[in-house]
Amino acid sequence: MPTTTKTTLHIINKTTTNARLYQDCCDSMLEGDELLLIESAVYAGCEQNFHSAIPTSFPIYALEVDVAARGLTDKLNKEIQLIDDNQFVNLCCIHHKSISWF
Amino acid sequence: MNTQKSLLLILRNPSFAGSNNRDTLDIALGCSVFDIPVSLLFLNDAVFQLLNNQESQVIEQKDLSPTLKALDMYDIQDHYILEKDLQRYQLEDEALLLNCKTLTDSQLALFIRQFDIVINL
Repeated sequence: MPTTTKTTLHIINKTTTNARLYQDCCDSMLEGDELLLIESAVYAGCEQNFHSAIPTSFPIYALEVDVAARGLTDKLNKEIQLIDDNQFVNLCCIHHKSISWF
Repeated sequence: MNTQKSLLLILRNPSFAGSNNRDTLDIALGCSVFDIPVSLLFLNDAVFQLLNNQESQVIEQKDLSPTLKALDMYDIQDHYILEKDLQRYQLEDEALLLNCKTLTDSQLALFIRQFDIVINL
């Protein structure tokens, strides 16, 4: 099986104050991989230096309820796509595996 | 002679990340009962604690806004944030839950030095 089909969903739940966590996660991403921000990680979408805080060009998602709970609904960077729980499950299913960066 | 010690409480965590912030506010309320002067510093991710429109019910948790709003009643009115943290998260124009004084990076160390006791959970 070619490795290109074995894509990964990377999940972070900490703020960008944990800079090494973001660096390590993004360094571990390959073509086809996607990044999901949950819990405290959704605050990353407020970063002024968004691209240096989340150094990846792959798709970035954030869990809608976690964004609303934190009062960030109209503050997030436009590059982040909001998803609900069903889409979360779907992302987990379409990727070969998920990796938690907690 | 005034032997009253001054107390600074530092909060560093964002909303819903552990109980440290709530514990810190409990200390603040407790001190106020004994007339100990308390100042609060919302450092780094803790600025998010001060955002309006937090809808904690959608994740079935409780945010701290009711407690924060009650601080005034306990005569805890000295709240501080760093200008740098507001800029980093683009919150400069945001209406915050508390009326905070802003500190610059270079003021931080001197600000902390003036207190007798600092609790940093």
